[in-house]
Amino acid sequence: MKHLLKLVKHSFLIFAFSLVFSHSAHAQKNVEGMVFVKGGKFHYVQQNRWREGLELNKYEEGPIGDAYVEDYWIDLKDFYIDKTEVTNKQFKKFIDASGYHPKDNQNFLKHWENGTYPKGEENYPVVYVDYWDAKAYTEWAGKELPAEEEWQYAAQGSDGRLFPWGDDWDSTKANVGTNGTKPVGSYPKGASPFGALDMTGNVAEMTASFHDDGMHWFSYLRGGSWFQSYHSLWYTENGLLTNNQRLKFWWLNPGFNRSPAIGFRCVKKLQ
Amino acid sequence: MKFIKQFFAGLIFAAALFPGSVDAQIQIKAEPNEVTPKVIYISNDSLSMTISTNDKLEVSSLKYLPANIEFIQPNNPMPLVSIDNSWSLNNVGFAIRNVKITREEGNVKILIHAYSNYLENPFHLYIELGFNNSSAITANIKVVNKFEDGFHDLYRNGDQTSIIPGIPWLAFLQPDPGGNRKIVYKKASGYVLENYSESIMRDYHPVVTWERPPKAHSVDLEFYDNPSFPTILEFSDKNICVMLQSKKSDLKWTAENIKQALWPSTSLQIGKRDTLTVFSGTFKIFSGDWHQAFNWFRNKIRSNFDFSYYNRPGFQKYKKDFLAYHSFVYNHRIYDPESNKYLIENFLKNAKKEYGGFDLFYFWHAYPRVGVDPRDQFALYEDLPGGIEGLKDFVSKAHQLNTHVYLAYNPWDIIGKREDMYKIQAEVLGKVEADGLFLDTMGKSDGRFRKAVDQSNPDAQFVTEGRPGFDGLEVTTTSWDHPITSLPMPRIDLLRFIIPEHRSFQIVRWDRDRTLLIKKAFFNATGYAVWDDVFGEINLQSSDEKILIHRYNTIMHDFSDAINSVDVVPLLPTKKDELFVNGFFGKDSKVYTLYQANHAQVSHFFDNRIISQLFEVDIPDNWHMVDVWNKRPVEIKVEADKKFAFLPQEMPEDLGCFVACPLILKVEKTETGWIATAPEMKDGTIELIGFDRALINEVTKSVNANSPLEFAKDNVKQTSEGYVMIQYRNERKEVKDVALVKVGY
Repeated sequence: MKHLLKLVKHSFLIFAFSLVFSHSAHAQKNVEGMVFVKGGKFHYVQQNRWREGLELNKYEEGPIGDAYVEDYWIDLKDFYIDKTEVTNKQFKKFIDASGYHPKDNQNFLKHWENGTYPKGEENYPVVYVDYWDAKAYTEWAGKELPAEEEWQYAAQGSDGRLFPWGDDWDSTKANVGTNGTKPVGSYPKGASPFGALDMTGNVAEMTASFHDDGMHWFSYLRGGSWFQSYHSLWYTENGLLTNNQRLKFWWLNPGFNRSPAIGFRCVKKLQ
Repeated sequence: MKFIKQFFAGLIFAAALFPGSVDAQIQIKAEPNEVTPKVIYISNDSLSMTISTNDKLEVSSLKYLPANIEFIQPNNPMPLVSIDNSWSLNNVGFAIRNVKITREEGNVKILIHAYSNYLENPFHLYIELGFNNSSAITANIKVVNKFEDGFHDLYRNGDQTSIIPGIPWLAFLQPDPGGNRKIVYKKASGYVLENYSESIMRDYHPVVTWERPPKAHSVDLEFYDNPSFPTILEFSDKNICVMLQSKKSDLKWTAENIKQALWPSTSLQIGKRDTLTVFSGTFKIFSGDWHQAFNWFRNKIRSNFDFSYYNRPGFQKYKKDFLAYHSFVYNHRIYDPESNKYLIENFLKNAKKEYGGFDLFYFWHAYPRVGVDPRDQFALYEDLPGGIEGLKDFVSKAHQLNTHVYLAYNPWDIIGKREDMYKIQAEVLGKVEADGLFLDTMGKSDGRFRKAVDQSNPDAQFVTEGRPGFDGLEVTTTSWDHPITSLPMPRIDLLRFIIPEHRSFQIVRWDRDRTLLIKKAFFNATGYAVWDDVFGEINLQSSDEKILIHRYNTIMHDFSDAINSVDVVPLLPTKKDELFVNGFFGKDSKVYTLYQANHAQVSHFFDNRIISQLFEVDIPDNWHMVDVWNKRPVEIKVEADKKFAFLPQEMPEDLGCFVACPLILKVEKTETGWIATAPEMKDGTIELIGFDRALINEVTKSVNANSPLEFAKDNVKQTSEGYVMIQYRNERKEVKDVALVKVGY
């Protein structure tokens, strides 16, 4: 009897252990298209190019222009982030499954024809979607838009690197300053410490940040995009952005908001 | 340290006293003769000038005869023209090679051509001095580099291209050093008036002076740093004013460093066979109030100014535009994201209550959004709510509420790689039927842009962010007056009084207190622009500012006839040092804006109250005067056949607006109250004005001028002193008479 109880106890322990182990393994293995980001204490330092509009953050004068800076520690929990930006194919799956159509469809999926993406562009990042279109997708997918801290941590890791791959700019590792988007994952050497791709360039990525100051709506975009404006300091830069830079984006009407240079990726929080 | 090297030449001069060949009022005499003169005397009734040529070309005397003022210090003759160059033999005299005297219709000209005895020195000097029967001297002074290939280039130091040109006698005029002289000069913060001092004369250049005793406050005057603009020098308390107007000079002339310009210490380049204009302009002496010099200059500018764009029939509807709003279209007071609609009607209706209404609306959509993707400012128009048609509807709604709409043009936005941005912008303007363009970052437009816009809308206005020079003003009919921060009062915008047809808008973006700027707009009767959403940075006008703007806006519109007059005078002479008055004189009314600089400092213990006789007015006997800002009557007192605006009590504020006009309204007491009529008027309206404690006008009753307006004492709003205000407004909505009736409490 004594031996039987011991056996039951050990079996139970082995069973419980395997449950825990298999759950983790199941969690890390089975979230398709996402990479795991191990949480922890993260020194979050970011700056946005102060073009116009005061912020509540610390203000720093720099050698080239001025910037508002956020600088604090945050304790991030584990999460998953899409390995790539959401693609045309993925978005079409969402449309077909949910029947989603925006109330105002001006410029919605402008690059599509006859209700679908151009042939050969299934793996290009979806563009011409605004914040509310992205939110609808994330709700269908059971995911969320990343908080800025999550996005930056996924791109940067914890060593403060300027780009996902390190501190030195390398045009062979990101789609910036070109003629348009490229299929996601075209720059495998540009992966972040956690294996996320195209965190720099391709499309500027919407985050969960959405602000209402009582008179305007605006968000912050991360990562920069393929489009680089030149020739005047008055342009809002959406091309080359480092991991810790963000772009202040004013929301107007849907047609204005949807852009060929803005897309998104999602995160999934662990329970 | 300045090294001065002067070139002098013997001046050969013809004797001037030939009967029949000499202008009776201008006399020229050369001694010993006109062939090899050593001294030349020029004189008329106003001035005399002595040019010495005894081994040096110098001005040894310049006198203003009516006041017996000598401008050149005794025994200290000044060089007429100096050219310093690196040629080592340049001190060996400039020989006068050719002198010519011409006489034509009362004008006498002396033309001098001089160059070095040494051919190695390639610089030739051409001087032309012109005299007439006034105190004006015109001067055209040029240097030509007559470099010859095959000659000058063979010498060791052959390539002569740099000189230091100067006009020393103009640079150092000092007829009356010291004395009770006041000068205005420019500091970093603006122009200030101070007592004369050596250090100011040395370090700055005085531009205009005030002939009255020293003030506790200085007067800030806005001037152009523009070669066309005069530099006015006043000397002593004898009210002598010297004006220097340059039409062209290669000397990098600015009002700030005119001494440096007239006699610089750094060299200028003249390329081979090129010409350098040392000075081309007029030097004139005035006696009396500085306004004489100012008016002379103003007339010269206006007589050479092309007013075509201001005379367009379509332009006339913009003459009553005083208050502007600079928008940020992302603001939810203008665009509602829930309904995806513009809210322009609500916005403008609220503005009517808060500010008295916006006459202009600058529509701003691109910056700081443009650059995120390939859409430039023109592509973004297409994606606005409703696209181009939506914007056209926006403009139409604004027009229905009497607001003109301007679109912003960003010249730096070239990502669209458009072949002709002017043409495209003009097309958008035409399609949406907007009233004009705001030219972002631009100080002026060019003719090509103007012509492109004329194709779409020949009545459209340009408004530039920067202030154009006089040439730019001809096609840019409005502009911003746009300091970094509000500057002190009193402050005069002289452009306002030279080209009054041009409307400037006072605007500042980051100040939290814009009171001084609003006061400046009122005092100068210019436009004002509200900018409370600076590209996302909220900077709302306070309640007090809104009240101030509302009151200013009301007066600008009610009295626009006089305010839009060409007959305007800055800084009328006043009998009180701390009182500043501008005059705007219409056909049938005169408006005087007042600013009292010491209002907050008036003390029981000092006699510095602004009361009693204030300033002289020139109005017919049957006119009267009302302070429409403070809603109080103003008395007219006569002394020695002159009329003066008179206040028995101080103004309650530092601002006032005295309106003089004929007595149109007649108010009579009745048993129950009062009755107001306009006996000789057939058109227009008689209005009973109510106001809240902020003194914002509100028409509480209005009748046709043919009918009497009756009111009872108990049913009317009074000022704190018990005055009730009635207005007569003509068919053009201009107020032509104001009656204040004391009803008591």
